[in-house]
Amino acid sequence: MTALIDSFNLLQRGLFLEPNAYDEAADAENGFVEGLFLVLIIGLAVAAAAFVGGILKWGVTPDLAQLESTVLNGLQAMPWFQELMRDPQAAEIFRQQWDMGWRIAGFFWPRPVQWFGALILTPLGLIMGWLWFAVIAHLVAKALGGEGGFGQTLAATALASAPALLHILGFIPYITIAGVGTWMLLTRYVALRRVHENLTWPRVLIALFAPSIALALFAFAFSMLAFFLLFSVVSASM
Amino acid sequence: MNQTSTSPSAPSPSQASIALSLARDAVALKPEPYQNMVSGKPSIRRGVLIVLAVGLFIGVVQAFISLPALFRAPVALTEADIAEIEQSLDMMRQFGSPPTPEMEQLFDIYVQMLGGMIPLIQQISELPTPLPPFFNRLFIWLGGWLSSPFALLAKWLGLAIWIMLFARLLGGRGTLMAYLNASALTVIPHLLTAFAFIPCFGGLLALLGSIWGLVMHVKVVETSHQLTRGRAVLAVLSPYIAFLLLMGFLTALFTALIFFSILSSPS
Repeated sequence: MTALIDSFNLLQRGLFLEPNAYDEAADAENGFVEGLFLVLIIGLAVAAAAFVGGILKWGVTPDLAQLESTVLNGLQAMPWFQELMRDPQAAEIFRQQWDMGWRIAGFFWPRPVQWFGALILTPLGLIMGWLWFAVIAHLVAKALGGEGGFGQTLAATALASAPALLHILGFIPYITIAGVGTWMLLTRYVALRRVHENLTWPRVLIALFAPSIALALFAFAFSMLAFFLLFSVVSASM
Repeated sequence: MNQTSTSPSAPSPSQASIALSLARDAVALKPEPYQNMVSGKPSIRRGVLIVLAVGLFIGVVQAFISLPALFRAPVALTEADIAEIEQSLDMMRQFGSPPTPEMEQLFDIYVQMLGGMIPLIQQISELPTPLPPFFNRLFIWLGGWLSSPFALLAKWLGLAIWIMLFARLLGGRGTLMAYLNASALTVIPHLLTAFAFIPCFGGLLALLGSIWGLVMHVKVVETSHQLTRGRAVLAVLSPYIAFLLLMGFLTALFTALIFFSILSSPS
């Protein structure tokens, strides 16, 4: 319990960019384990909030099938819609769009599987995001002459995930928690600056943005590969 | 555990009056509040608290204004929308330029469509949900209110990091923490945004608040980065100039692409 309270204390200091909090995190004996613990705490807290928020949202949402039939009945009662449906081509296009629209809506409609999914996927997503950022940023910082250790980068960047804690307010349906991304950019900057103290601020900025650039390049390469594979399969079948 | 961390507590009356006089002096561009924020502890706690307090105030006023929506059925809101459109049409007829016949026709179609939607909205609002319908309105109202501080926070951080970057590029020597803390004072004039609901005058007040916020930003850059007034003004305006240049470039690029594709088409 004390470890949990200490971690929350450290997280709130990290949230407010207090440099000594990052030094404290970086001094941990095992950066990976300490970092994982911090990110897991954040992930589980946010997931629990999302779980409650999901239940509340479900509580105020009507059944999708009932909504669909009500909207359709309502549309059918409107003169402009009756006029439109006289054209068989327009009616067919409407039917296709209608089906696709409700199928997409069904994907986002509040349902229990989403809440349980969030319980697993939220911490997992945070951990993967943290590891990706820490590994790439550390490699780039090292290449630029940074002297911090990998364990230190792992622990300090885990603390830099503190702004994600604001998503705890996600238990309130319809709330928009803006600014978390920008705040996390700042915490990560401070984390890298404290660990790789010898680097100048422009070099820290390069290390800070490198993981996002790498991710964008990776996504681009992956989509190009998928496109060429799809293209070759389609070409072969013709 | 670090001893410098403090637990937030409710301000005593003297603390509240100190905070108020700090805010008043900051808005009046007196140097003390800025120096006070720059030389404080290396933490953005105070800055974030200022931004959240201002955001919550704006949210409270807006929530108070939208309180009647909590107790009105969605149909009443649609009827209010229709009445608003008809009212604005009447205003256009009485003052300023009268609407063209095409515009009048367009408004008529829109009003008719909305009117036709009323029975449908009524039916949708009557669909059974696990919780009473009032809770949906309550959550929307609460979500809107509590989103307000975060919107201001995002605006503050988004602008502050760009100004910080340009100030550094122009030779500024301030630290991130000192600058962020002091720049939080620039959100105080945004309190005027709370009155944006007042027709015509409200928008003007909000604009005035934003402009005064930028003027305060100049003071922040001068104090935290030890830059001259001219460089501080340039650092504050640079993000906007860069944005306009980027937009101009993208628009020119887009126009050139369309123009080129039209020219190169076979017909």
